[in-house]
Amino acid sequence: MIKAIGEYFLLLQRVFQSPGNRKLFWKQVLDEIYHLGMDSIPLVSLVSVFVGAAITIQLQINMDSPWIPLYSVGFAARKAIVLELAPTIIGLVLAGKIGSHIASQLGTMRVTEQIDAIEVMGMNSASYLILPKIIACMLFNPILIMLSIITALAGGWAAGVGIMHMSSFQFIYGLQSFPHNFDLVYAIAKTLVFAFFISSISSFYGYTVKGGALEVGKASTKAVVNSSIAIILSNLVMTQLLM
Amino acid sequence: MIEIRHLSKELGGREVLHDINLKLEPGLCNLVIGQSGSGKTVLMKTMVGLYEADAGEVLFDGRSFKRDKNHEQLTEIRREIGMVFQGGALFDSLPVLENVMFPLDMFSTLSRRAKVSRAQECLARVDLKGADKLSTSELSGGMRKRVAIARAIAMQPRYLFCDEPNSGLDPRTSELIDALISEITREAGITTVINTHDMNSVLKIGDTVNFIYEGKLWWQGNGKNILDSDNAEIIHFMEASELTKRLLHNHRNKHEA
Repeated sequence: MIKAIGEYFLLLQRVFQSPGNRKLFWKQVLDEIYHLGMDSIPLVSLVSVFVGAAITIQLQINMDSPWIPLYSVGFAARKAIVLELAPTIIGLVLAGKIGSHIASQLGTMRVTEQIDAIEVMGMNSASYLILPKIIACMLFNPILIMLSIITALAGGWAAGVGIMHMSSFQFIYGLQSFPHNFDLVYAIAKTLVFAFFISSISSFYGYTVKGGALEVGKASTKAVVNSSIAIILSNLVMTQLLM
Repeated sequence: MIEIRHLSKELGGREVLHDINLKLEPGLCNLVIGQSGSGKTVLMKTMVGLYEADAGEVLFDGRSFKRDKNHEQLTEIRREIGMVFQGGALFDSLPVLENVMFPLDMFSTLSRRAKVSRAQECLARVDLKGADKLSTSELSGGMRKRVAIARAIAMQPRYLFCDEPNSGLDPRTSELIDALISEITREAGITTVINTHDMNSVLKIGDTVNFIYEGKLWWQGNGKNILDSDNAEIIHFMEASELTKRLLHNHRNKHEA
């Protein structure tokens, strides 16, 4: 475990060196934004809509009391979605999707000697292959989280109004109550940290694969598991520090 | 010329290479032969810097190729190296032309048009004219090897390394690949190093042949005098191929007669 952590930091040291041809580097970043970010939009939207709806239904059932105003459901749904659902739950979903994609891609490149081919050409393969993924995730994951917040709130509204027969006005009034801008800053800060962990940890497991196809599969699993653990632990630390 | 001096390498607690001393000449196909697991690939990967040598050094025309030495010199030497990997190591995400253009995109200051033209020239050289837009998944084994050769020669390397270039290919395609590497080597005066255990290649293009056995340099010669060797290990190695076994038998009979 300690050896793996040491190797992870040594790899990061190589990643944050000059990537060589800058024009091609930014093209690579755009490609990664497309593959890692844009491709995740349908999944993020789908998960967010349904989880947002489920949260609203749960809140309405559990807050059904004459002492609690109905608009509190909208308020509580917003808090839950912005503070935890969007950054953390979607972070875990992205760890699964993006993490396995990165680890299997780099792992396959390693076992088919494509990474060796890049090294032999005199390039820093770690920087060329991993840095664009880290930058792409850190640039695009906040956009995905914003999308997740919007779609989850829309899902919550649809469930509140359509299933639980709440008035649209009450739900939206709740969403707008007691605005707290720091919640969004907190969500974005967490997202950036999670994006770094997902991309760098998954890259580490993919890049350092030794063996064949079986090891690529194992690396992919390790990437998802360890990225998820990193997200959960850092979520706890950041919640303590920032809230 | 590539010179290897007292090179040793240990992997997983086992000494894979032991005190290898070797000179590889320019304009010639320098073959490194040996059974699977004899250390050929480790030797080649150590030569190109993918593995770090535990002892000894590799000199490229007198320039040392050590990771802890001058970083600029190391990069400079690496840019003079072309390598054909066993499986081709083509980039799956790029079509054929982009694969060949990859080193040009990275290191050359040529215009896009000039890069395309150079890549097409290399593809034509390996008989793959018109394959520009094919994806790597559409290529046969022989075509993959040829694209890999085209990519390796795109930057006009001074040193060409080929790791088992005809493994997994049929005899006819193997012959074509061998002839292609041999022609390119002579045309450009490249120092070519080829790892192989294919005796056909040894006999046809082996300008110099270096036999590695259990991590040691066991025998040196060429494709012409290898059949005369009385070294027990190399005879055993050659006799593993039915074709060479017969050749060896006929050669001995001829000598005895």
